Amino acid sequence: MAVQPATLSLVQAAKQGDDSAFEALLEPLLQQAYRLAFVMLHDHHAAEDAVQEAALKAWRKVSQLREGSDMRPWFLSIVANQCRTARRSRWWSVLRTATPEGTSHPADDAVLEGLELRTALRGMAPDKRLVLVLHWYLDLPLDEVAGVIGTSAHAAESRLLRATNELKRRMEAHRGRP
Amino acid sequence: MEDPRLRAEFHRAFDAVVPPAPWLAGSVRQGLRERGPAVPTRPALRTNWLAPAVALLLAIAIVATLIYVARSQAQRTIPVLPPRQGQGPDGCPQWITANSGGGSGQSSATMANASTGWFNGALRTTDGGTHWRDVSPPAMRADAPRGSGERPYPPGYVEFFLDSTHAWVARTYGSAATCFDHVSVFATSDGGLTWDESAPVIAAVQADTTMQMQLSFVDPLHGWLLMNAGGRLVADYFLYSSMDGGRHWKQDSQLKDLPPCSGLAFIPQTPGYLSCKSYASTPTLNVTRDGGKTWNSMRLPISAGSGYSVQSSVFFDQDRGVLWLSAQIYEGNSPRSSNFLIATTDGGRTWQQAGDFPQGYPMAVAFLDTNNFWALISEGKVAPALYQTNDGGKSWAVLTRDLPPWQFGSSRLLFIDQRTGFMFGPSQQLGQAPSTWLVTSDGGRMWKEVHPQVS
Repeated sequence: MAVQPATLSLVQAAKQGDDSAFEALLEPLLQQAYRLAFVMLHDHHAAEDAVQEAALKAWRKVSQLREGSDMRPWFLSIVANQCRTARRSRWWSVLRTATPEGTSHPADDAVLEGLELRTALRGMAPDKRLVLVLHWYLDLPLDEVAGVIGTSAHAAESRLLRATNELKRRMEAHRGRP
Repeated sequence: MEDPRLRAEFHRAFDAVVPPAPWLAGSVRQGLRERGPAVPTRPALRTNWLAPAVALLLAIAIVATLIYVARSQAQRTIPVLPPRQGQGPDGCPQWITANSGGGSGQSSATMANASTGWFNGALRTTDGGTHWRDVSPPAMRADAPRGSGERPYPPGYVEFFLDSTHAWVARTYGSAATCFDHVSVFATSDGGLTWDESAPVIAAVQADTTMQMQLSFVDPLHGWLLMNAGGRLVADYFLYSSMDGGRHWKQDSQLKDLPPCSGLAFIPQTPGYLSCKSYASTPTLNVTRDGGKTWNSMRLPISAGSGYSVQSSVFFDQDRGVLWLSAQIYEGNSPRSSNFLIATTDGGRTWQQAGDFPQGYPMAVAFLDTNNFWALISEGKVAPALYQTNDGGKSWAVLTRDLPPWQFGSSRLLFIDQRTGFMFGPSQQLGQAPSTWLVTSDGGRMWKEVHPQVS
């Protein structure tokens, strides 16, 4: 039985062009990336496209990934940027009006239960929505949220606190409506 | 900042409308193959006056730094210590040999299917448990002392078996100065034919004479290694993670002042769990939702009694899991052992009592899924009875009271589907075959005893 000493890490292999290594690095992050994109874009197809484009951009930028750095905030920041790009192109190419949830067809209890939060979130600016989704839905700790949005952990915490307070106010206001 | 209620609300709101996308990995892979470059390209370096000037400045800076460092080193040497080799000072844990005596401790087996599986000491079977072969890495024994015997096991030896071909073993190495200098993890993806050895994992644990480790992998690439100083009522636990199948490890977190903790379990897409023996009146489970970087201590819904232990835990997916919890309930001065089944359906955020065990003392439990469990129950008679539930513990039916006569004291139960199950006893020594091995192919009514041997 041969014993081979450890040589390349996945990151090193990916940087040297090993697409299997890159895919192995990326695959555990795809579901979270998809959830992020869906919440930011409110559309399954757009979310899939955004994750696909982000994966391609990540592959082209993998040489920038530092050994030992965390793959998740790096990749999710690319996904978030891709969502920003997608929103801008959609804004100019398609006239969109906000489609109220719950009006098209009957939804089950689980879907209806989250309607208030989803509605409140959709009314918020994208950068506030982003920090809220990263921390409260994708369960990223503050240092990773900071890594995604490109700030310090302290700044990320402040932004998250302000966004959370605004979300709660919006939800309270929604509850007060007849 | 933490707000469990808001977090749960987010999950409820979006888990209901964001479907899982299992096809996404294949779709991304195809997209990369069709549109990605074969080798990531780097932008061409511009050859104008700026680049040579920058290069010259950089060269000057490097030379200046080297001169400064050389002068500093003349006054003060900062040693860079590689992992040290050595047998360790007196009192360090010894190799486990055939003459070490004592049992192998907890016995565990992983059966990938009816024929292929693993047992303590990296023993592997391909005929359902009759014949076992030691496929542990030879490099693991390279520094075994003379006279250790044929197949000694090194200090700190631990193992984890994922499926029929993927397994990991780890061991500690001492140095002249310490019993625990570093750890090596060996990984196989071909059922033990070949093994890769990891880069040394420098032990952060300050242990006197005993260090304990646990390994847990969720797939061939992603795993965790937990280390703590052993033999203490409370200790600090150090968690390391790997994303490349155990070849490289980085320290993620430190959990301070915990009682003895076993049952490290990670499942894909988080969360991860660490169950600890508790001396408090309420049992707790440590849960991480960020791959081990931070941990929260969760209270489990059993309130009365003291001295809780999680005997067994299974997490079927990121949402559903079951625990078997035992506790000492004091009635006057006499402790009475009580056993509980509790379950989660939301990734450990909330737990409910799933059902009760049948009357008697549970000796071994197997969890197949959220509904199907088997339990070996001592009813105060010569041989125990085997019970089964199909509704998650709400009701149980006896399958048999006619098990072959043997010592059931440390028996284990394992079912890989509704029909195929195994019941086994611990080995006398690490690396030896299980003392007993029974097989069922009808869901537990009839059992056939085989006589396992290591070849």
